[in-house]
Amino acid sequence: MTATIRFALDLQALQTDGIADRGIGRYVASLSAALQRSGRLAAGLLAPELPPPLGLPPELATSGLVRFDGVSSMRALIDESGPIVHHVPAPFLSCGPLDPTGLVIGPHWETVGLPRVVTLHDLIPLRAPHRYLPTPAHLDRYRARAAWVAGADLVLADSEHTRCEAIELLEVDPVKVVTIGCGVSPFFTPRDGTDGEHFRWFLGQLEDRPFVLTVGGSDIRKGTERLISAVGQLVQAGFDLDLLVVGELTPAWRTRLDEAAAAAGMTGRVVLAGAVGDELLRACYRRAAVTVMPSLAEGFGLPVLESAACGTPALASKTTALVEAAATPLATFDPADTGALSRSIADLLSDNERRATVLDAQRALATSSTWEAVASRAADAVDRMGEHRPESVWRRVQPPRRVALVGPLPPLTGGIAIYNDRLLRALDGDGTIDAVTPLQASPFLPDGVGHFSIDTFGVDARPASYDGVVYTLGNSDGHLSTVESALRYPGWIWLHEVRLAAIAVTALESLDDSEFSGSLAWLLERSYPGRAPLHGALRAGRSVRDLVTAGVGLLPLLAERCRGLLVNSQVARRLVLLDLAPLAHHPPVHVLPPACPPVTPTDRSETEKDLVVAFGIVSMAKRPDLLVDAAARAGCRLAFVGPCPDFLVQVIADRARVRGIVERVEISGAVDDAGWKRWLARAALAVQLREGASGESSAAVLEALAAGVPVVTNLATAAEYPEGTVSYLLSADPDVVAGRLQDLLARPESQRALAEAGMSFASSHQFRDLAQTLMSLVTN
Amino acid sequence: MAILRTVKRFLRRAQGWVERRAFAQLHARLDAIDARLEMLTTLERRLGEVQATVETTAARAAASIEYSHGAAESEGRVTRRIEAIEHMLGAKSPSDA
Repeated sequence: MTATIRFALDLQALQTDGIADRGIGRYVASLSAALQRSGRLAAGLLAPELPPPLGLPPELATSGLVRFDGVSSMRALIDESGPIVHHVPAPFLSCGPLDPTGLVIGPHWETVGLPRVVTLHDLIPLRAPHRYLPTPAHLDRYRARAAWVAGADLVLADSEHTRCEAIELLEVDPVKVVTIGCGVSPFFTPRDGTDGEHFRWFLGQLEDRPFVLTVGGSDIRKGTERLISAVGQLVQAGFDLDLLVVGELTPAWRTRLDEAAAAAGMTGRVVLAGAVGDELLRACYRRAAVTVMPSLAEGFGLPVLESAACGTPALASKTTALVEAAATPLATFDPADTGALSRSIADLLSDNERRATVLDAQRALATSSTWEAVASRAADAVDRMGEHRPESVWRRVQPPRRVALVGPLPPLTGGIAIYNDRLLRALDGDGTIDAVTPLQASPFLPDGVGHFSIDTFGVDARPASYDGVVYTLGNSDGHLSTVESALRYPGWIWLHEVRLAAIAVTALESLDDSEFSGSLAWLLERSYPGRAPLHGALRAGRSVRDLVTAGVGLLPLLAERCRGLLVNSQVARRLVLLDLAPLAHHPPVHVLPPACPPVTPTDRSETEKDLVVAFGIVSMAKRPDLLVDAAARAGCRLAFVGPCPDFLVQVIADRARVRGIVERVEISGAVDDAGWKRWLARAALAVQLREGASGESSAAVLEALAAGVPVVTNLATAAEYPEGTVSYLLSADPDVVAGRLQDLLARPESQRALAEAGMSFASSHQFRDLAQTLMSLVTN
Repeated sequence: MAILRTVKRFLRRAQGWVERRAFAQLHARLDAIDARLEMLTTLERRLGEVQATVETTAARAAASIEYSHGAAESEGRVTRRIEAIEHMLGAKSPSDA
């Protein structure tokens, strides 16, 4: 192995509350900076799902090496870098039962098979599961993560103690566990007279006071209560001492420590400083009489060396890795023995020679514990691992493309569910596909297609591990789960309709009128800041039609956080561009081709010469009233085939009665596939009207074309089909519609020409073509 | 000698008769076992088909039942989704207001 192996280092610890500004966060920041300085850092990886990083070293932030982790950046790294390892320096993050475990595991890194390196800080929860893993679910998750750590190609340990823990508890091959130690930041230096004001400002009560310092926390393991007792004994024995506790404390723990202070006769002598920054921490180290770490277990014990670097000796428990950090047996004590602890402090404070010996030993260790040395040991360990690996490990093999298709599938009803189902079947062989649906049970899927319930997307599956996430969106409250995921994990949004007022209206339907208006106004201001169409929209109220007329599309809410928008027609694209912020940057908007089912001509011998059929879910937007009027004037029969709400059955029946054609109008309701095909065979013409334009296409129209049934429509998207594919209506006036129906019904040759052109169009617009276009767009 | 040769021929014929009879029975047994094995293989395959059908039907039924019971999501779940969406869009929660 001649090329230098570099680290793709995970920086999630810097994005995690409660971790970023504590030991592990500081470890990750310092190690990444040191690796960068040594030229061994290929990339620092931030999780796109998490908050911006806290404490990211400035030299790293400006280096161009920090990028958001995901399969795309991983592919780029594989292409542009030499040999790399994926290094997870905080492997037990997101380890709770409900945590998104994929955040740390990184499925895309697992797939590519590059060597995995982890840093192990400690396995304390496995030693004391009753304290840190409260339920069997916690224990299971922790054990699963521990097994994943044990399966790493290389485990880097903070200390010899942690290395032994890995070998004993995780049964890791000793050859695979290497101790690289921990570094002391060069920031920690002896007193230089520059921080007096800073210390006085925050901890003025301790100025010129002798005090014992400890770095604690809200954890009994830290041994702070025992230390309070020990210092209390010293005070009673005549020592003039205060105790300063730094580290974040919960209110309950503050109370607990106050009570411990009172019990030890230390009231007024214990200062709980809470979380402190590095500058104040350094000032504390510099001024303390002694730093004490009475913890029962630590993976390393960095405060011991930081304190020594600041010129103050430290005492540490004679347990775990603290023994190594203490540097000399003179600086250790039995943490279970309060008397021993107080004697150790007393000895150190009263014996100058002992104090000097301890400080010298700890200073020597601190001086050699630089981050450069730690980074160098990590790099050496990786190099040694590389020497024993076959060349094939480092070969740059890109994993197959992975795409998630998010949205409804049968048995959920609706055109988009059927469309998605056909698309999935056509995608077969185009990479790895996972369907993400609102269903808990897996729907009936083609072989090789995986399934995730949408509520587990982001928990069991990591969106960033897909080359493309495609959210298929319609205009009903059934798509709320898709909207939620699309906002949470940005991807491609496939708009089957481009005016989303109906989603908002149905989502807010439980609100009273006043609350509805307030919520709608907020959505409008949010969508169109400074230019919200409040007047027209609030007058429209809950009428979707009037809201669309008032210019409400609500697309900016989705467009502001997506990778791109996909639409089904140029018409839809134009409408999208009209709804997005003018004179401003917006995401790419791509037009996908329409897709028809396989061409299967119906048997036209069964056709009923005067039968016009409106296919699909019946709604007022499809103008059933106007169709009845047109059928009355054209003198033909009319059938509505598809689900029809009761009130529309009544509307159609009333209209037919008024027009005197009750016997010529039929409403089938929902029909199965066979029934649908029978109606296609019977229909002389298929008709599809729309009021207004929301950029939608019609699956019913595309199915009629594939079946060789002539189509009459005013659907705006159909105007983009080659001339002659459909009989296109420029107007939905009843007279115009009636005239066209009458004309076509009287001319079988025109029907045949339309049918043939329709089938020709369908044969060149199959789902396979759509699938290829989609994959090419969303994975490149 | 002649008697001995006669006895030997007799014994050889007897041996041949016994062997033919024994092997015939053995072959018959083996044929029967083969037939049974074939039948069992067919049965196993059919059972596999039935199992696959049952599993597929069960999966479809589960999905259908789930849909009929809860695909139109519960009011509580819809409310939670709306709150999550509003939160991500920047709305203040009632406690912030």
